[in-house]
Amino acid sequence: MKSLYFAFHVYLAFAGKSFQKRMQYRVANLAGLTTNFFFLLVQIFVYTAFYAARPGPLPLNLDEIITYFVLCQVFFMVMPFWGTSSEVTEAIKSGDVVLQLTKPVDFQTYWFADECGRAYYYLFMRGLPTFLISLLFFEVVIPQHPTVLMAFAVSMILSIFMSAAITITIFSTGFWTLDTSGISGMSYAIITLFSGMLVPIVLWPEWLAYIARWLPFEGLIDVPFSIYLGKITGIKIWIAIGKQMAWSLFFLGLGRFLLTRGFSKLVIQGG
Amino acid sequence: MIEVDNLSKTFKVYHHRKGFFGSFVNLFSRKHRNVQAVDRVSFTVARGEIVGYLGPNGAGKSTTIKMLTGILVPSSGHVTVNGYIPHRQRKENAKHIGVVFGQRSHLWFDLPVQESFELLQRIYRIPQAQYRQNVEMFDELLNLGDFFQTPVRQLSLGQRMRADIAAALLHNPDVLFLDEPTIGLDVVAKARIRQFIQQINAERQVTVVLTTHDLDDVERLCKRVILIDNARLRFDGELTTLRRLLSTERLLSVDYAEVYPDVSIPNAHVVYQEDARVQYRFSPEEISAADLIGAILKKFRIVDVSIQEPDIEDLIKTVYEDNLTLERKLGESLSPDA
Amino acid sequence: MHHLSLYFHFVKLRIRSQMEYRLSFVFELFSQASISVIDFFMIALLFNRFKQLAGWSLWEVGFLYGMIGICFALAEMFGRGFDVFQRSILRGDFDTILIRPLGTFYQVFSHEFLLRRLGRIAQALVVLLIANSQLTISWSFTKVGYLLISLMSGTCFFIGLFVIGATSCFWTVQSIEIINIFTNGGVFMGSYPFSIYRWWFRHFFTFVVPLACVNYFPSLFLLGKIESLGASPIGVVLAPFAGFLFLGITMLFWRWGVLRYQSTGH
Repeated sequence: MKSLYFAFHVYLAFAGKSFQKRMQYRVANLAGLTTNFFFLLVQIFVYTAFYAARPGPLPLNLDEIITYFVLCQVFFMVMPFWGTSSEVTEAIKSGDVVLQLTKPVDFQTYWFADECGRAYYYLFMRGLPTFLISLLFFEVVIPQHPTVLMAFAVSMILSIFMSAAITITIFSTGFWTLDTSGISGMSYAIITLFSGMLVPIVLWPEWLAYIARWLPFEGLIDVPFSIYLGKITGIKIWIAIGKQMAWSLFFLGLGRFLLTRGFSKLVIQGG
Repeated sequence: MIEVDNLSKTFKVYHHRKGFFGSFVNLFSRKHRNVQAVDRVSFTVARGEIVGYLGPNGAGKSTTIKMLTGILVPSSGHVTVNGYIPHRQRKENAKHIGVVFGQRSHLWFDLPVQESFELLQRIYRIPQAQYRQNVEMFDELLNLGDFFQTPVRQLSLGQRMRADIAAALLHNPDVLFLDEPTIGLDVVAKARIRQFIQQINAERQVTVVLTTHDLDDVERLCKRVILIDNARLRFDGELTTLRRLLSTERLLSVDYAEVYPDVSIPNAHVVYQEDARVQYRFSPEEISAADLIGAILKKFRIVDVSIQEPDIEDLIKTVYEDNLTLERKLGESLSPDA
Repeated sequence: MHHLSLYFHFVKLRIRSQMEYRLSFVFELFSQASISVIDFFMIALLFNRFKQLAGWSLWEVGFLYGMIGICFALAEMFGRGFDVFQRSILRGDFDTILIRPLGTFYQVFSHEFLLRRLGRIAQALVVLLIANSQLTISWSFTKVGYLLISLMSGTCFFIGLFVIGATSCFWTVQSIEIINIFTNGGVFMGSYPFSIYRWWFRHFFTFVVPLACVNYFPSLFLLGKIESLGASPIGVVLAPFAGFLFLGITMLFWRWGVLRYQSTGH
């Protein structure tokens, strides 16, 4: 219990530091904000045109679709494929990461905290402004029920955890391949598709949606947003959140396994 | 060969507003202040000269070199190198000069030295005969052969510097600009590079402008030095004149066999004393090193003794800290070209 | 001629050094292609649901998508030097460029060549070819020439955007990432017919940033859609030249910027 408390403390400290570190790149953030908004605008033009052509019954109405993509832009930078601190990847590449073993802090905890700090930074400094500006220009749906909002908040935090855990898993492969750009590119493709970031899963053909439901990545985007839009209700919320938790733990375990193997490779072979 | 007349360079340094709103405002209007990096500097360098261009960090040495090589556009004043105005006739000028920056290589990082050279041959359109002749000669003088097939990124600092200097001379430039060519090198490497510069200068009449922190470089290579500080020219003349003008004090460190209560010696000042170790400051004009050591040996038993030459930094520091003295002395005794 | 043969020499060296890490090269080639495959897959999913977009069928949109994809990938391949210019200016590489007896634009252009964009080019080309087989375009000698000119023009357009981004590095180290809106964003919006956008958006991307001129208008001509949209035929035929003009203007901007270069450290 005490060690758990300690880990949490470390987590908060490092996440805070990671958040602060990014505060200095405000101009870049402003540019990023504009870019997010631009993509959002184009997406809305595209869907408005699609909906104008076919007014038949659809699982989401236009306002809901717009809200879905607003949330996508809010979450965009939280996604796992954006890379991680270059310090960490450089340290893994050079083998200097082995020095981390001498520190009293568990490396995965540190890395995880650093990732979460990054995610929260983008959520608040880029996501929140995107959301607020969108409220002014588009018909964004706001959930009326406080329980929906609460469930969404929990699901959102789990999405961030899962994203951090997946990032660690992806970039831990740096112990074996010097160049992680290949593997991160592949995960980019898989994650953008199966998280539902490009097209909501409910609009997919049945067979593909079925595959997506069995994969972890819907927990990053589609699950929290469907909860927000009230498309997942009642007991199904708990199942969805439970799945997010299970997958987060799975990736944390996988990351731990890879890190342990990576470190022992470094220690035995000396990089 | 090189003419510099009233040359000035002012940099704009932008002030960054803080805060989220501030960074937004920064995008549209930025406050700046002007920093004078080079201030009305004039000098000329004749063909075949080796000139030491000296000054403390941030004095404006590199900025001057960058204006002479066409990297920077002067704010005011005139420069010509070989009759070309470097920033206007940059490409023409580039064909006739060679440039080496000690801090950074101009070669291609991931290419072997040989391929970098071959690339330069193409870029400068060097005839095959001249190229072969130069490579042979440089190889002989600098032992390039040891690492000719090694990628530049894997070279040691000394090897890299040798490769860089050779590369800068492949196209037979008339002027060679060397910015800190011996920085970070060991004694042997330094000596080799100095010797090479001397030889090239003597054989090919290449004009050399050299900036350095190393007094040895200056002493071995330059008859003439130009001193700048705080963007302004402070001295231009023979190195010997400069030396004579500055009462160059030296340090003598002595380890005595025992601790003596009174270690004073006439004409020398004790600057430091701890247990049996004593440091004296003396001026060769008042007492020669040999006489000083003689005087010490008469009075005390010693274990070890060493003399420290003032390095260029110290020498220059004296000039700057004691500017009035220098200017007075300059007024009294200096030749008109200064 | 000297410049051209030197350029090929540079490209040869670049390709060779990129092939040194063969495994990662193949990996990235593959991941590049898979990213863009998914891009188009998503568009296909939407058409599966909605059948048509403002009167455009899936493969007509595929034609747009293929064109813009090829142009952008080519621009990244050839204009890489400007794309990563911020990094090289921070390293001080631009000083080295200035001491060489060659033009600055030429040197930045020739120093980089990103071979791995072949994956993306191939993917976009496949989409374009499939689209062509699904559509009934009556190809003539003129039309093929027009398509090639349009592709070149589009490539020039994107390189021009990179040049603007690179030039801004002479003033600010935080390179204006705004340019991403026009590059990545341009590919995204160029994959859909312009008629779905609002008028101010359309006008901006026709007259200020001439994206529509290198992609949408040429497609209208090639797909035989001019009449249906009431666009002026002469304008449509001349449109692709906007890309070359755009690059020309950005080159002037570059020249102007170089004179304001302040180097690092003094």
